[in-house]
Amino acid sequence: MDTYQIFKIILGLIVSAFIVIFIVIFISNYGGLQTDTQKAKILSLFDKTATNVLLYGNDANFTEFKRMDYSAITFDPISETIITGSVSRKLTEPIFLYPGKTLYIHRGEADLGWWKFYFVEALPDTSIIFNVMDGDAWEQVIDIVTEMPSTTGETIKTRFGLCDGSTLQEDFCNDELCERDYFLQAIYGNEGMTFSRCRETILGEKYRLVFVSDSCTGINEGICIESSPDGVGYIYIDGNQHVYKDVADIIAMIVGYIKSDHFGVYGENLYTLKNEIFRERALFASQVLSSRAKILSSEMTINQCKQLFETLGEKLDEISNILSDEDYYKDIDSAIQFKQLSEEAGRTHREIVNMGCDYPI
Amino acid sequence: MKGQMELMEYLFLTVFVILIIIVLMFFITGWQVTQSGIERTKEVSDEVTFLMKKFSTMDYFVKEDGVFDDAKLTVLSSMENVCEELRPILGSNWFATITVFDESGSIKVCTESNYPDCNHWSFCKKENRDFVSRKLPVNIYRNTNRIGDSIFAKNDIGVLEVGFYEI
Repeated sequence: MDTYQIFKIILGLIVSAFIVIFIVIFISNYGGLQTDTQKAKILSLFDKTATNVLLYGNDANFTEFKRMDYSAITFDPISETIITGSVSRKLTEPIFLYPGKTLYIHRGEADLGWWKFYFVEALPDTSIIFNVMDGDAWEQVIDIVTEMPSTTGETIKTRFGLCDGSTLQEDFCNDELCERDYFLQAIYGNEGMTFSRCRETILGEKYRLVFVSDSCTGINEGICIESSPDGVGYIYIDGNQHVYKDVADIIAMIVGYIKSDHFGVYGENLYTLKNEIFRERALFASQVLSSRAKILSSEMTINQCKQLFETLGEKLDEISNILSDEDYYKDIDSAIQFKQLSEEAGRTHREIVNMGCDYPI
Repeated sequence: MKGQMELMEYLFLTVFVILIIIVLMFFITGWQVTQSGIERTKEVSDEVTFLMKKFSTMDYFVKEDGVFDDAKLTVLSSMENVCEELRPILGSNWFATITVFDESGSIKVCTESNYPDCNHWSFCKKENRDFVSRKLPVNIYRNTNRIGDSIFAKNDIGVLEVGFYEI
C-alpha cells in the first residue's frame, strides 16, 4: 500500500465522519424543532378551544394531548404559563387544566350580582367524593357541583359520590358514581344529614376527596372546606389554609387537587391563577360599570333610578378600592367585605332592573 | 501525474457530495421558512376572527352576545389607557371601531361629555402599519334614547371593525 492509498483512506474517513456528524446534528435539530412546533400547536389549540368554551359556554372535548406526553404538562403560577418540555404558553383566561389524555372542557360561573366571572374547567375522567360532616353545608355542596361538568352522553366522565365513615356511597346511580345532574337529584333533601369522617384509606388514588365540615382541624388529607353560610371561609389543601369567597376558588382547588411538582401543589397554583385573573378582571369591570352607572345616572329622568345608579356607582367604587390591593384575597376580612359589598351592589342593580331602568346582568 | 489526477477526482467528488447536502439543507430550511410564512398569514387571519368573537361576546362591551352597550362603549373609549387596560384581556397589536349606521354619514365620536348624542367609538388608534381587518354588522343597545321627556332604550344597527397588525 503506497502513501497515496493511505492518504485516500484517511481523507475518506475524515470527510465521511464530517458528513455523518453534520447530517446527524441537522436531523436532530430539525426533528426537535418539529416536535416542539407540534407541542406548541397543540397547546395553542387547547388554549383556543378552552377560550371558545369560555366565550360561548358550549362544552367541548379535547383529545389532542394524546399526541404528546401529557403527563409532562405542568403549570407555572408565577408566569401563568402551561409548560411542557421547552414549550410554554401563557394563559390569558381563567382555565383550570388538569392534564390528561382526553379532556372534557366546561364553563363555570361565579355570579357576583353586579358582574359574572366565567372560568373553564378542563378535566380528564374524574371522580369526586364529598364527605359532608356539617348538616347545614349541603347547599354549598350543591353550589359547587352545579358549576362542574354534566357529562351525560359523553365519553369523558366527571362523577360524584359520597363517603360516610368507612362506606363509599358510589352505587346510587346504577351501581356506579353519579354524573352531575343525577347526583344533584340524589342529594336533594339531604339538608341536616351529617356523615361521619371518611376513612380515606377506603378510597383509591382515582378519587378526589373533599371534606365539608364546620371545622377542618385535624384533617390533613385531600381538600377540606370549612362550611360557611355567607360563602366566605377557609379551605385547606395539603394542610395549607386559604380563603375562599366564591365557588371558583373551591373548583380551582378541586380541579388541581393535591398533585404536586416543582412548581408546588397544583390545586394551590390554580387557585392563585384564578385569583390573579379574577382581581384584574373584577377591578376593571368595577371601574367600567361604576363609570357607566354615573353617566346613566346623569341621563335618568326618573329620580329613583337616578339615585339608585348613583348608589351603585358608589358601591362599585368601594369594590374597586378593595380590589386595588393585590393580596386582598388572602385576607378573610377583605374577602368578607368584598362579598358584602358585592351583594349590596347586586341588590341595588336588581332594584334598578325592577324599576325598568336597566337590563339584568 | 496519474495519482494527482485521481486525488483531484476524489476531491471534486467529495466537494460535490458536500454541495448537494448543503443545497438539500437550504431547500428544507427554505421550505420550512415559506411554510412558517403561510402559517403566520393564517394565524393573523384567525387572530382577527378570534378577536372579533371576543369583542362581541365579552361583557365589558356588550349587553348580550352581539349587542353592544353604548354606555359601556363610551366609558371604555373615554379611558386614557384603554389599550393598556385591555391588553391582558385582548392582547396587543389590534384596533377596533364601532359606528352606528347613519344615513347622513356624519361621525360623532362618543365621549362622556357628549353621551348619548354620538355614534362612533374607537379603541386603540388605527396606525399607519400593515393590518388585516374584518367588518361585522352588530346591534348597539342605546340605554338612554330620549323621546320627548322620557327615556326608552332601543337597538341601533352598526358596524364593528376589528383589525390586527401584521408584525
